[in-house]
Amino acid sequence: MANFFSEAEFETIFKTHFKELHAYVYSFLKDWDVAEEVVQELFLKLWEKGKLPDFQVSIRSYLYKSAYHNGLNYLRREKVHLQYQTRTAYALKDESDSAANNLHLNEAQNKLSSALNKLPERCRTIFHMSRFEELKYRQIAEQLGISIKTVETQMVKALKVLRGEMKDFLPMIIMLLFKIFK
Amino acid sequence: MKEDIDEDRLIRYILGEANAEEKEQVTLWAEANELNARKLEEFKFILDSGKKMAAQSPADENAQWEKFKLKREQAGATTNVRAINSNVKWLQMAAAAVVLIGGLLAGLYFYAGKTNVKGALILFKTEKDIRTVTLPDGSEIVLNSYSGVSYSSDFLKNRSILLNGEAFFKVKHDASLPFVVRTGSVKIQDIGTAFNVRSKAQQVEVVVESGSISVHENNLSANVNAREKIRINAGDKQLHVEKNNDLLYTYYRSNEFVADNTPLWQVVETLNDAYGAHIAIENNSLRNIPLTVTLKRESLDKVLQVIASTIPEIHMVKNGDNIVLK
Repeated sequence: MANFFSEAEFETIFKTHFKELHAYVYSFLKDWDVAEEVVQELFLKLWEKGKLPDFQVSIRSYLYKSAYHNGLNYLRREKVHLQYQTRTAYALKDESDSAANNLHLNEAQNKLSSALNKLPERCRTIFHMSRFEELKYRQIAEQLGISIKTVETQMVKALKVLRGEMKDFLPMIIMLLFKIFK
Repeated sequence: MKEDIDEDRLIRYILGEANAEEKEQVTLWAEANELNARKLEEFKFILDSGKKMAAQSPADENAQWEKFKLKREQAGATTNVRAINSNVKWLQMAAAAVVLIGGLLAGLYFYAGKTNVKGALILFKTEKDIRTVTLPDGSEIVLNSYSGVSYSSDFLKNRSILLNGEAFFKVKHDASLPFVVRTGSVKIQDIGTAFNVRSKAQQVEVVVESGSISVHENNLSANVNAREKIRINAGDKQLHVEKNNDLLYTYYRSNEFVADNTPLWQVVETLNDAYGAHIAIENNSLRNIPLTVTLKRESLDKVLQVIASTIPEIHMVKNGDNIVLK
């Protein structure tokens, strides 16, 4: 058997997961074109390999893992993080004409966005599936072929890392929120 | 009131996964003091921001697939040589246009919400092992080694399976929802039944154990009933349904090779499949000798010894991996 995937099967996999992976890679590269290239590249590699690496590994878990590593490799190779910093600075400036509170919130979100890059691969995949795609623990577990307990442990870990990274920001933000809503 | 709370419970609460009891625990805990309330807000902020930051991909998956196919050709990853004609150029331009328009729309979607999650693909494959897969509708698949099946996670609405290699299907009947197996260009539709499909590069063989199926290839179709089989070769102009009395095809479920007046060449073909062996019959007069024997799935050597002792005319010559029957 030359290729484990039939053409039709591969097409389904591609079309089902392209946008989701595109958004995932975008979340750390902040560039849609580069993210597109990274995702196209990883599908090409998968096609050339013609099969998944291990027995019974879930396709989604494989795709996320490759997206993570290929994305980070790209960051390392092209040093787009410089570009990334100027881009977010610009975006920040752009949106700053609204209320000062909003500025702080945006700033915090930018901080969070770079804090996300500190998460290890599996942790990030699970956080992404939970928050960006709004999947339930059970759905994440099923699709990655892991236990619900593992999903939960990874979510706790993600929160720990993210709170740590944002400890200088959070108290101020929470004060702001209290002011707004109380 | 407990001073601190498990963080996993806190996260479950915010994600809406907590049960009633946990919800109450968290609410009480957060009301107990300001510090707790803030901790809850911090967790909420991080989790909700994650949701707000979720960007919608501006790409179009169909245009991206066309792009991918071009890339794959350029990479020489496919042997399908296709001339770049105006049609493909047009597609390239269309893809570029879609991406461009998509880019413009991206701004609108930016903080808009979650990405589209359509039915995810569920995939099982085997290496050396044999594996039973139970489908969401209760139907069962036994996968022979080096085979694979996939289906969409909305299987209960669309009972469609893609097969590579060989598998046995035991289908839960549902008149309102046909069960379809696709392999290569062949489509098999069940009518409440159990059947075996063996799919190779140039040939698909379906044996029906009980019930009946309909088989479609291009514009040909045929019905196959219990104890019948059909072999479809690439390029066939007609479909032939034959009687099938032997149980050879059950070998990977029963771990036995059951030949019942079965011509030797069929037994050899099954052994080649089962052991990844290269056994050839050189003497044509041997090919159709009927064999009636039940063999345990032991080492290939043992199995061949038994066959040779059952048919005295056979001479076996071993040459490395190749075995020739004369």
